[in-house]
Amino acid sequence: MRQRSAFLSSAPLWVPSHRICVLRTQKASGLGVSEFAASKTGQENWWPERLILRRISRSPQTRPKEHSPRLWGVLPFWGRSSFTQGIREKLIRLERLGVRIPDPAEVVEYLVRFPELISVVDAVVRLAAKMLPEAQLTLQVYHNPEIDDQYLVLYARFASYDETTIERIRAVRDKYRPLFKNTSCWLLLTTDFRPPE
Amino acid sequence: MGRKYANPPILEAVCEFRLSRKTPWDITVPGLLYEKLQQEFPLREDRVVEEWKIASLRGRKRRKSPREQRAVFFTEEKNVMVALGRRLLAVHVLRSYPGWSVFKPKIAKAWECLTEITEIQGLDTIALSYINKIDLPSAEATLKGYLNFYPFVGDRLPQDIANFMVAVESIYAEGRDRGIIALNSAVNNPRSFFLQIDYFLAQADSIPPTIALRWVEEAHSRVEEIFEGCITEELRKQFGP
Repeated sequence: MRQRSAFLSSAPLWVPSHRICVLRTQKASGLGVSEFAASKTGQENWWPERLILRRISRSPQTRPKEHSPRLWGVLPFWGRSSFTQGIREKLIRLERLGVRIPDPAEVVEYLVRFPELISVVDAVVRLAAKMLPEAQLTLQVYHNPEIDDQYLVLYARFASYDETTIERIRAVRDKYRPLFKNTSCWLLLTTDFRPPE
Repeated sequence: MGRKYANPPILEAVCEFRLSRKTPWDITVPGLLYEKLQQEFPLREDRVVEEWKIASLRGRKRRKSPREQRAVFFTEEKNVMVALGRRLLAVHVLRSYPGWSVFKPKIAKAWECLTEITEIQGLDTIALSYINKIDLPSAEATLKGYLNFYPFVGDRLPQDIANFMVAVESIYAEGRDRGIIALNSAVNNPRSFFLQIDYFLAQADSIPPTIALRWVEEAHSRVEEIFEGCITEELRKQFGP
């Protein structure tokens, strides 16, 4: 209930259809959220509109329980071609599917370095979501502490684990392996046996 | 940017040309351009993009999002690409940014090949954009120590900032050009920020297509100035000598 009241307290900022959030602040408790919005009007100042279309479209009731990040996906250069922005948009779509991306900027940076993975990530995540419907999927960049190496990992976390868990994950991996036929990189689907967050 | 750095923070640089409607265009253009660029950009993909456009109809603004097919040609390494939409040419360079001395010839090549295929009648806009990802050395480091462009939050306002975004649009070349600087935080990572610089031709047909590349060179100088103006010596050190 406390979480919900925090949404309601900031609800007015989601309602107007022509506002752009420039700043979001949060009290130490993490519950009180105040946001400052600014909007520009006039023909020349059209670019903020794009932000609204993407970010301020959901009502408080349909928002995730936690205060999900809303500003990371925005790019003010309305109408510009941007590869990076395309990746951000893809990740936003995955988040809407329920995939957790704890550090989206890091994933964007990784995918910019390995662009051949971009189309594959989307397909793998969707396949995993379909074949492991009860799993919470978390996409992040794994840093190997022993050698200077990092790669993309999709963790599947379940409320309970049994002897079939690993088998099911392997089955998904077998299914998506052909997608990597012409690429030099790999996306690892695995579990760390943690409960969903 | 500016000085040549060993570890530039650039995630992506884009140079985009949008041609005026007077420019003849048909479905053969992507194929013809690919023929000319094939050696440098052998990999080819088709993408569908959705662009938000705002059209004014009887004084009321209406949004529409037409889907557009784009042909994208990549280098073998897939870190440089040319995207071609309807009356649109964009050249992208991804991390690791090889420097202006490499990026500029790619832009020139793509532009010159396009001018050989179709007679460019005018330019709606040209834009040179850079997206930088800046990582501060520690979570305790303050933006003020590393950037000369950051949000000012008065002391009567909450100071515990979760996320932010600030942007400024400035006038250049007596209103012909505009420059946007935008800084936004990377969510869940208090050490990382995106600094985006977009310099663009704000008045359609204000330069002839024949001097487009000269404009791009000028734009790059302005972007360098903006970037150098945004960062402090402390941050400059992080990018290496």
